[in-house]
Amino acid sequence: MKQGLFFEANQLRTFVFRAAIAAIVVIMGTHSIVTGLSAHAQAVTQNNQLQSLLSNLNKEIDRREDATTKAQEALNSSTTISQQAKSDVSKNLGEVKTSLATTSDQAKKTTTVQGAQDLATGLNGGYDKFAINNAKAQLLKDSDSQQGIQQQLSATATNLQEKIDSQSSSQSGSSGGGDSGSAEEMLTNLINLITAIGAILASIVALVLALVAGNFAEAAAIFLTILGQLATNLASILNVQSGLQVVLSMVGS
Amino acid sequence: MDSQGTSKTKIIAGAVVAIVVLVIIAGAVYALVSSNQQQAAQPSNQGQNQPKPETVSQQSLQQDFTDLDAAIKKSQGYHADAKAAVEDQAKRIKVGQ
Repeated sequence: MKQGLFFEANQLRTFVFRAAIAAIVVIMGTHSIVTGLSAHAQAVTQNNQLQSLLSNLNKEIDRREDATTKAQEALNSSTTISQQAKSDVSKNLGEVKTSLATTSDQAKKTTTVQGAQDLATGLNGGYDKFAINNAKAQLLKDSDSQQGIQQQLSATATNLQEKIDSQSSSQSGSSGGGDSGSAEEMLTNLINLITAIGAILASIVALVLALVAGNFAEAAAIFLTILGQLATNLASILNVQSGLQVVLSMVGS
Repeated sequence: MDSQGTSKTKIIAGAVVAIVVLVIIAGAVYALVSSNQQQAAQPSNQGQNQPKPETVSQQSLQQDFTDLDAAIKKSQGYHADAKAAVEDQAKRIKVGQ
């Protein structure tokens, strides 16, 4: 009976010992699995974060590159803006493009979230230079096209004046005048308007070129005012064109 | 405090816009005055140096208007591009924030 009891106690001790070892093994195994899974999950999260950041970064680089290319094309096709003014703005746009290309190259090599975050910070910091010079180039092109029209209006007015003069001289021997007096008066007023349009445009171009703002948010109010002025000018151009057509109809063939 | 800041910003923005408009008008007036002075100086030279131009025809005048129509259409396009660019860039996109 005593031996039986000893055997049972011995068996129980062995069982407890084995159970304890098994429990330790299970705990250690579970821990390493959990640690492994957690590390994997963290790596997946970081990779997703990196990919999302790089995707946003590349999207913004593409958007700025497209806008800058368009602005450069617009500026290069300007004909009435001085070469010096064009090259000043063009130089800044070139620097913006170079910076974007460098960031794009670095983004391709970036493998860490922190690295991508640093690139994003740099890209955000370059926003003002990009935005101000793009707006300047587009506003200069807008002004340039209106200056071109102003010159055409002026040439048309000169041609109409010539027509009136030749008609006046041919009529002076016969009955004289007709509508040419009022046509001439109307033309004089239109020529004054054409001169005013040209003066406003010269002023706008000078203002755009002189604008050295470090912050686009501050410059935006000025750019919007200039846009409004250019819209008003375009409306004046349309009015002058209609007026010149009326003069043409008064002069006749 | 915020509303004070907003109204301050509004006042500053209003002042900036007013200054821009004044600068444009002042520049235009200056250019007009100098252009009128140039025009006044020109006639005495014109009669002496420039050959008498050929008489323009109705057809060439019509062509002037056709060219003007085309140029104005293009200009409307450039104005729309400039407007879109300024408005688009006003929407500042911040990456990674």
